[in-house]
Amino acid sequence: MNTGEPFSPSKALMILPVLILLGLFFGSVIYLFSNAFTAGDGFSMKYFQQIIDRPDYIVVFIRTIIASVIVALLAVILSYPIALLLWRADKWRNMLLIIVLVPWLVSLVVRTYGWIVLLGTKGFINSMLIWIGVIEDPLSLMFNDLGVIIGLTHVLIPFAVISILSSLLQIENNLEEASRVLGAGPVQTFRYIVLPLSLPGAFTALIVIYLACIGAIVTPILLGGLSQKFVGSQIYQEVMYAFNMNKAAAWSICLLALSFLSLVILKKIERRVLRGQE
Amino acid sequence: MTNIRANSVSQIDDGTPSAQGSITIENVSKSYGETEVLSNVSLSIGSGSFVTLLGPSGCGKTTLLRLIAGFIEPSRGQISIDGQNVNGIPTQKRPIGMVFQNLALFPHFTVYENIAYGLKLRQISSKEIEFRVGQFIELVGLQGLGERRIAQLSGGQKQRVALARSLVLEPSILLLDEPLSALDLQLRKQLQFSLKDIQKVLKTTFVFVTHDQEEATLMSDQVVVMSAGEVQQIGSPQSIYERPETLFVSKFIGEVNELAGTVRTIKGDMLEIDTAIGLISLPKSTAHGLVAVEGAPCVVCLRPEKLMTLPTGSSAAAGRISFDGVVEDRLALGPMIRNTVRCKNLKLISLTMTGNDANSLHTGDHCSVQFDAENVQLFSPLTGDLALAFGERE
Repeated sequence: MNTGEPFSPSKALMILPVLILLGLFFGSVIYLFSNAFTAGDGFSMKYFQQIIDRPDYIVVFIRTIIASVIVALLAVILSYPIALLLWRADKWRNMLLIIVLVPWLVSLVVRTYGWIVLLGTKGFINSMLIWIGVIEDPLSLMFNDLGVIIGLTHVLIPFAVISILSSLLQIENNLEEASRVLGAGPVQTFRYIVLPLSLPGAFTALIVIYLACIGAIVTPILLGGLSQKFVGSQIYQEVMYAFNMNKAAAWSICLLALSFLSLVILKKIERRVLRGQE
Repeated sequence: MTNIRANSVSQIDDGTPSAQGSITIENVSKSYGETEVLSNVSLSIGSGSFVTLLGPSGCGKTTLLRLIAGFIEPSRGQISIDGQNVNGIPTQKRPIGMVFQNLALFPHFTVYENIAYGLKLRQISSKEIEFRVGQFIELVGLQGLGERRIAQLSGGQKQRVALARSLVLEPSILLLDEPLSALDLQLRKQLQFSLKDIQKVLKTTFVFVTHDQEEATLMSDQVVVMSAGEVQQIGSPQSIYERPETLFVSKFIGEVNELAGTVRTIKGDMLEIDTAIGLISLPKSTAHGLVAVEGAPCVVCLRPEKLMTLPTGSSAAAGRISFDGVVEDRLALGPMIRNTVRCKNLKLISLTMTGNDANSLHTGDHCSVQFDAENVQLFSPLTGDLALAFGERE
């Protein structure tokens, strides 16, 4: 490659798509900020004040955070066995990976409707449990926080599987054998060698899933309760039903701030846990 | 620092000197599906010896090592350690240590933690661990590097950590899978000697796998030459060099001049062999693994140092076989001179001590090539996988 090539206009044209992309991205962010911080003609914190003044809105934030933490932990814990299985299955790994990823080929909305079929009052799970005789009255598995947690966990598990698997695949191939020769059984080898070395992948999954959850919209709308809103569904409502763009923008900026703060905290925790690992 | 609470029972005795460490391998075979990578290997390794499994890549030597380690189980046959059948006994319960080709050090531990890992699994008091780890850090020459991370070490230092990590548990057997192959020559030489020294001090049985015959002869008490999943020969480095039992061993250990031929006639105790340089008459005792039948193909082998290059006209002593040749090249190797001599259409290599008669020879001179019949070895030609190991066809 010759790096000393003279400037040519046709080449300069090639950066145009990038410029358009960046322009749109920053343009929309600037527009968002201007919407949130202006009322009438000038600068105003009016919409933020409206959010802070409502205790039920604060509950929405807290609910979103707690549900997201639960989903992230649940997804990572449930993904570990799957990732380990894929790691072990040398020959079948790609095949099994496709099975893990197949749900992504189906639209998120369709998948979530699938959960409605399963979790509804007359849904599959309730019907089964009543038929077996475990319960007499249907459980409310849906249109509440539980429904959102189940739905989001299901949607996000493949992220965790891929992330943990990639960490496991980086483990040098006979570290386990070395551990066994030194006297460790399978459980100890997992505890002291495999688990610590796969933690970076688990942490990446935790962070990505948490961030995906606090901004989730579709699942909370379809599986969440009417009075138990999440930040995402709240913003959606402000835009689609209340047509209050300024308030929606203020909500969005709060969400952005929350994401950023969470990321800083999670990174701190990650560094502490993985301290000493390269 | 990871807290390791051990609950495994180990057979490795702590404190007692490793008087044990004998391995018996009886008729062991290992197949993967249709392919047999190890066939009918029997081998007995004495306690405290340094044994090398030597062979070209794919000969089954690493498979044999992994069978001893218990990572894989034999398809047939039995492996015993200290007289006890270990078939079915998991790796962690065998009294062995192992140094891997890629070393397999734990990247999330420091040097100290790597070496202490096995001790911690054995629920040894932290004071004792500190003492023992310190002792072995010193033994392998890593003083002051205990707190280093693995990524911060050089190749040779990593090697030493891997060694210390295994030896600190005082296993009666240490398995080494080509541990030096990734190092540069200088460092390899240095570590070969330190390995040998450590083995002498600890009296641990070392089973060392290598494809480097020089390394094998330098370090071991006993060499097991393997090829195509079979043991070719077992013996001291010297006996394997001087008295190879097959053409494979002869070619694999050191340099050899080969003359392809056929058995022309058998007269009493003498065989007349037809070769490219002429008719050679050899006693039957030189035939190794060759069924001497008239018309049978055979290979005449001669070590370069047994082949003398003398000025033309030198009288051949009684019983000495002599041919005419031309000196093509002379290389001075310090104490030795390496002559390349052309006899008819064959190139032969002869090594002579500097200062002998051959000194007067120059490149291009006619000369007399002489050898004693008893220094010749006569083998059957290589076939199949054995021939392929040298890139030959049948």
